[in-house]
Amino acid sequence: MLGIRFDKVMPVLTGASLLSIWTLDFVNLQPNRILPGVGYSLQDAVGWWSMIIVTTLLISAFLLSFSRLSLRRWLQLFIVTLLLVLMPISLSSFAQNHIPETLTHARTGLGSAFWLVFFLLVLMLIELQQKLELSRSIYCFIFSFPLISTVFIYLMGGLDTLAILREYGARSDQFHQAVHIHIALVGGAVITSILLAACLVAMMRKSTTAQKIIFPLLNFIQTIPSLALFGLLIAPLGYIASKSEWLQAMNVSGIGWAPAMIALIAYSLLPMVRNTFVALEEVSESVIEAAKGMGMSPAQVFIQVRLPLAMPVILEGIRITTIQAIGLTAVAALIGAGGLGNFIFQGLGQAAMDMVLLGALPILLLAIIADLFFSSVMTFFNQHTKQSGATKS
Amino acid sequence: MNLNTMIELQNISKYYDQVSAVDSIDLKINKGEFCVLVGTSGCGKSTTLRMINRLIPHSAGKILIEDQEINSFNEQTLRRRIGYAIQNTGLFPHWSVEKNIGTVPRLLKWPEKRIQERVIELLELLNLPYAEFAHKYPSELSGGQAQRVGVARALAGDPDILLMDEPFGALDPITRESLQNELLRIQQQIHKTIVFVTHDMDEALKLANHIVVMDQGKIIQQASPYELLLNPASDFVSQLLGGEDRGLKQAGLMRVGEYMVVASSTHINDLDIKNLDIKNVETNKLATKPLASVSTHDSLRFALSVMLWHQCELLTVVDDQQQPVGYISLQQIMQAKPHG
Repeated sequence: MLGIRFDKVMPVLTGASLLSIWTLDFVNLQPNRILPGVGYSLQDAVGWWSMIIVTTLLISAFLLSFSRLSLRRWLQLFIVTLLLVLMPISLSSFAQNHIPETLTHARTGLGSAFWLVFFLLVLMLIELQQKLELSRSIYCFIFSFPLISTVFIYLMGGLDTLAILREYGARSDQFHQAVHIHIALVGGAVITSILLAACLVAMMRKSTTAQKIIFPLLNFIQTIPSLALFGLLIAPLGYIASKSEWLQAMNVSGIGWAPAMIALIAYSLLPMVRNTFVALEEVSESVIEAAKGMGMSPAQVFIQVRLPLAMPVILEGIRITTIQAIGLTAVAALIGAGGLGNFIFQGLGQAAMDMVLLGALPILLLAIIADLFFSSVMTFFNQHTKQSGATKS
Repeated sequence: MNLNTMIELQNISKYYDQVSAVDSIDLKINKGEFCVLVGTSGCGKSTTLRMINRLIPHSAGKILIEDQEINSFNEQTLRRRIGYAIQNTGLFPHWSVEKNIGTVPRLLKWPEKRIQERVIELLELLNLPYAEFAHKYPSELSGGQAQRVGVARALAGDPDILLMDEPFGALDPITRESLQNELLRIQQQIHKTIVFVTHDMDEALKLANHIVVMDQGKIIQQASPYELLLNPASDFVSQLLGGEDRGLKQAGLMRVGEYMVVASSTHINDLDIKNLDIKNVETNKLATKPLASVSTHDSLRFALSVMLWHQCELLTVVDDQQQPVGYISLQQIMQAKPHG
């Protein structure tokens, strides 16, 4: 073998993709929302020629892992991107060939092979990105190709028969409102808990008694199941709201946005407070002493030195909190808070999986966007906050 | 009051929960003096240093800077007038070298242009080329470079006093030695009043012109390096000085240039050895001609080491340009008396 070690990840992923397109349904077709669908393999759905192309591409990617070509990973990257670009096109071609114009309620469901291959291709992209050590901008550039192809096909009307878009078409107003409410709940909860956490951390840094009370309390809240906490808030909030006209005017009651917001804030506080507190405490003592010794005032030490050095860990706390809140808000739909969770629970009730997806996919997307946003802000702050540097020789 | 006194500690004590860390010490440090506080860990030397810039408040007594009680100043104003360098450099990792050095000038609200000029000047003083280092971050520096930046930062506000808390303690011996030499060179140019804390007696002997030995919160002895070596006040001090080893330590303080026999360069090669103890040389059957050379700046200790290594009793002394300017013999080293 001459000491050359071949990639293991890519062959496994490409092999699994091959297996799924040859054995599983690529798409299924429902004549309308109620009737059960009929499954189509890739070959049935888009024709034998497409099967050959996709199989050839996957096999080449598979074999490239064992070649000694220096460009092999770039070729694999090209194949993976090409396949991702082809995916929405295949859906559009399926709709053209198999759904007659007359069937206005017919809908295309995505089959297990579609999901699996999509998932595996994204994994391959991540794997290749790490092996090739691609920068964030190149990575985004590559991701833009499948995105552009999807948007393009969508604008051409090629995806109109997609079940999830049919669901969206039927309740687009509701959907937009749900997205707004969802974002408002998450945003409100995160911003409020940032402010609250700042106050709590300030107290904790002043007194150890506050530390002894606040941490166990927040830990305890975190252990309550979310549904139970939502439920527990209904009675006391309902009571308080019935006594206060001012609260009624703000539409506060036992159910709705108020208990949801309170529960979201309660859950957000632990990661926020813990990260902020630890980050501020762990700034190296010698750096703080130097800052004081230079003649910085306590406020200058905090703003110019302690806070910027703690920033990456604090931002990490906000990132965790935001992503957690995006998920939890889905559950808050159960107590009438609205948001994208509505579609999930309605869909579950009606056994309409497409409607569940209409709620779940945007939540996933929001979480990914939040994650990307915070990690890019963090890389900015992280650049020069390595504190071990001075002892390097 | 003596106009020459920069810092004066009068009966200073520091208690932590009734336990004294520093116990009623009196200390006068003159302008331009290089004062080294030396002692084992926990002896109160660092506490004493930090009381001077009020990082630690003193429990009793008075500290005067140019006859003014330090508590009469605003805390921040006081510290901006006193340079401060510490062991782990304490450089701000999120700021470039340039911004780090400019810290105190910015606090003093100097105009931008003057700050930049000062940074350039200091980087040059510490042998760190501006173009190469100004925009680096502390994590990109070696230990020695980081400590140089630390010293530059301490000097930035042009303070009269420089406090240094074991600044070279974490460095390897070679880097430490070169930084010590550099600090001595800089001190010759800038004449600050330096208070320097170390547990390393060799470092103290090399740098100081005023050594303060501390133990258990008290000053045991304060003297010039020579005096300390000649008359250690107690067993503890002589132990710190390394016991019998202090003969070499003393030789380490004496420069070849002060004890050599000056001779014009033309005579050195066919040296007139009448000046030497010829009998001694002959009986030992050792080389009567100088085999090796030392520089005028080298210590007698180094000269002795060179003699041992080359098995000769006579060395040529050369100047900075490597031109012979004289010679030194074993006899002269043995008879050398410190005149510190």
